[in-house]
Amino acid sequence: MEEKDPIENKFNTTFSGYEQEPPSRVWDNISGKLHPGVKHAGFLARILAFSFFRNKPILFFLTIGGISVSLLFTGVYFGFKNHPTIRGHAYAGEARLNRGSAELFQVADKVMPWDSVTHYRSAIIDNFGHFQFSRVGAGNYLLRIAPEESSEAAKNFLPSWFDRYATSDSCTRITLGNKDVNAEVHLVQIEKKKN
Amino acid sequence: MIDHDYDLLSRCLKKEVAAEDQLYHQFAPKMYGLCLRYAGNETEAEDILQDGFMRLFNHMHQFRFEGRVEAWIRRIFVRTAINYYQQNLKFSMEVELKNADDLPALQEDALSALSAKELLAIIQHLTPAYRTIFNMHVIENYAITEIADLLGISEGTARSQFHRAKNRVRQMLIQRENYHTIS
Repeated sequence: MEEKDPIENKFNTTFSGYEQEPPSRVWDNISGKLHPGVKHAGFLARILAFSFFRNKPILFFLTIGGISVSLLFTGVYFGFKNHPTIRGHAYAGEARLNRGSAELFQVADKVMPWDSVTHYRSAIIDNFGHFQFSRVGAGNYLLRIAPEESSEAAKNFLPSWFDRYATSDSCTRITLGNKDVNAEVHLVQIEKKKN
Repeated sequence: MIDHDYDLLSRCLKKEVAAEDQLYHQFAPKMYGLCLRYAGNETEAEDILQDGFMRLFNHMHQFRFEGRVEAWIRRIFVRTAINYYQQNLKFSMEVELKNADDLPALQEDALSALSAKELLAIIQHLTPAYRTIFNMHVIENYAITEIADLLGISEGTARSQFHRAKNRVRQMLIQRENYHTIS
């Protein structure tokens, strides 16, 4: 340990426990950066209080309107963000299926006992083989595509499960988080009896 | 006290607003005192204080819950102050000072009579480089090798810069003493 001279000693002892109260604006800035939403809410609350008590109805209702519109857009944004979409195409051989339906089943249990599988929603397959389930909640799903009974595809292809299975017990499960899922389904071809 | 500080840090890690508020108000006066020593004026000290607390809140997860919380926080603020002046920390030999032996002796009773405010004014009159080295070695008790490492300079440079800084402080103290004696 080096010995300190009188100057060093004086500075060391004076400033060892030195404290000074900082201006309150420093904490305002820091907490504003840590919690920006709270800061903005406080700002809006001050405008509302000012306009209400100073009898400024236009400012008051404009602020209320602004908050309402912001909340509406925020709600819509988060509503869509947290409820993604399952979309995809159905194929009958090389061609896209042009008439049929898509059925989505929800699996409540990870090990998939059959009493935990419930029908969730249906969708029509358009002329380009496209189907879509919007605003689907997070979870596990099974997807079944069925060609329309009167269609040409129904004569050659079985109703099939994602992504190319004839039965549900071996099919691929779709696990939906907060991102959209693209599911391409290939119908299983009917094996023709050889004469 | 250590348990209390650990508990406070744990609550801050859980983003408890009340704990963040408590942590700030517990340590802000000490850290502002530190910032004032490293800064050239109060505005810069406030900037360093703000940067230091933002760095503290953003890097809180790196605390290992070993040793004193205050010592860890103090190191964060010293590093923040160094970063703040990084571009101005020029360790050149631009200011040639008289050798310490050539300076007249300083009256010890005059030195002991100096207040914290007067000493702070003397520190703030140093260049950022001298101020940083002087603070780190004399008040924060960093070893010269550690200072050299933190500032990215050689040990020889750190040592010579420290002696120059101390001579500059001595010179200012003598000038101040002469001024008061004459007046």
